[in-house]
Amino acid sequence: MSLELLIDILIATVPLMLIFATLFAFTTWLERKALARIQNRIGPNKVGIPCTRIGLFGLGQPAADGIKMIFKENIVPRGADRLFHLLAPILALIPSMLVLCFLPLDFPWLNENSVKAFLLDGAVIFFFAITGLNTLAVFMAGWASRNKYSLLGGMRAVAQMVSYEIPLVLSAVIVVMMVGSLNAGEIAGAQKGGNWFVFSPWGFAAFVIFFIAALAETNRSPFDLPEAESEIIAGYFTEYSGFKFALFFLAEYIAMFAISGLAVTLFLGGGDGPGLAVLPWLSVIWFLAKIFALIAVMIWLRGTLPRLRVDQLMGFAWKFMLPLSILNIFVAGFAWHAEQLDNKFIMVITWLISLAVLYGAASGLNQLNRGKVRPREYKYAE
Amino acid sequence: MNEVIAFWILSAIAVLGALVAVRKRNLIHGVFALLVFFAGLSGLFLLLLAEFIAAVQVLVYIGAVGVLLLFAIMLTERVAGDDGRRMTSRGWSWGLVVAAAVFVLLLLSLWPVQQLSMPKAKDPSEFLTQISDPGYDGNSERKRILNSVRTIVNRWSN
Repeated sequence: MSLELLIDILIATVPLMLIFATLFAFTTWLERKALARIQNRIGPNKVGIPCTRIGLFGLGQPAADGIKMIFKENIVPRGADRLFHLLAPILALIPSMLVLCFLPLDFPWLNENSVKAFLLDGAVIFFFAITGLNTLAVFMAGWASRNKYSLLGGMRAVAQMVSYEIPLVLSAVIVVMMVGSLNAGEIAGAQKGGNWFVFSPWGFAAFVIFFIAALAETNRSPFDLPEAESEIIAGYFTEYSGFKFALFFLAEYIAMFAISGLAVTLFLGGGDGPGLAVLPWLSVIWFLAKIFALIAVMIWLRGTLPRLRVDQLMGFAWKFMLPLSILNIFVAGFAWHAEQLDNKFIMVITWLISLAVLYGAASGLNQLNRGKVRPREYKYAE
Repeated sequence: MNEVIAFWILSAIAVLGALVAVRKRNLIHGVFALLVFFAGLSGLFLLLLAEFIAAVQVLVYIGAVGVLLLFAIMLTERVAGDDGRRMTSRGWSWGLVVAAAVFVLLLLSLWPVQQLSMPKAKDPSEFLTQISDPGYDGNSERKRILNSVRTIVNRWSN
């Protein structure tokens, strides 16, 4: 292996890992602060610069948490599968870290000759293929712990991730269809100059479906059934402590960054934003800012919405999201043909019709499902 | 040279994964070993510059088939599956004979290709880099391989 190639690969990958790990630490602080403000608390505000009384709004909290996690005791249950118990958090972290390189983050230190994974033909399909591995890690953790709550959490997670992967991919298909490419760089390039996909009826519907499915994929509230504290302790990582737990935590947040990054690439124009003509490196800042906007919405939803029930969760995926995303593909197909005609009037008509169709379908599906969701019938309790 | 090293590492991973998948008594371990085999295979596809097939290999085999197998195991009663039953069936010796015969046939089919038409290819990995060459003509290659199979059949029938 030539030295230049090795250096190129390191330049392309190491900043990604450093930046997103730092953002992870900042996000945990942000989330705790925001949740605390939503619940009328103050949140972490003590840990700042060591040996002084300077609090810095508790910005030192992630570092303190990290040190605590590293020095905590590592406990493995007696009946557990020791090898898989060790491998599961690592397997959870690897895919979420790996897919970061498919985000079209055009760092200023990358030139034409650098290794750019996002310029791979089929970067989007690689993204979905590799994020699918998270399911296996979750199942591995749930099974290896030899604890019924862990196994229940793992089963819930697998069922949920498999169901929500379908609307996730089907809504991404629309963008792939409109651009005609699976290349993440080309998809971001096609939306230059404020021409984002979210600013069209079909794109907006696809974005909403994608975002909801992404919440479910990353086990975020209101879809956090696999780790529902009030039902199954902590779900699949009940039996994890110390650094292994920290790895799960890290993997979950990196997966959040990755999936928000894909949402930004597909629907929010990638690194597109004002001021790019003067300062090209602003694209990275815009990209990260958009990711953070999505993360902020996720935190906001976590502080606001109650958790779904298992039957509601499955019903929502299969009876509402799946039909709507399939219909949306047809709407986008018609819109694509209308765009080829290059006529303003036809475009306006297409917009109005697709708005009406999508709104009608969403409210119709809502009505259709409403009658069937009855109050829960208890089998084993009174 | 890089491709040759990568080929041997990936094929070692694949073969080891397949062996462990067959030999493990514990079903879940077996499934994960099978997934390692699939991952090695997808790496080999990448080495052949077939990105799409590599991605689909991960998506379909690791993502879908693996999860399906885990679901099936999850929904059966004995999750661990580590009871003391024997792993092999009674006709295992015949299976071994057939497997060995297929293996020998595959080896023989590689040998005349080297000898007759491809003096350059010393080992299978070089053959792989050759067919991933953009100037590679698949049609004439197919004819060559068919010819070599014919020579083997002739050799065996005589």
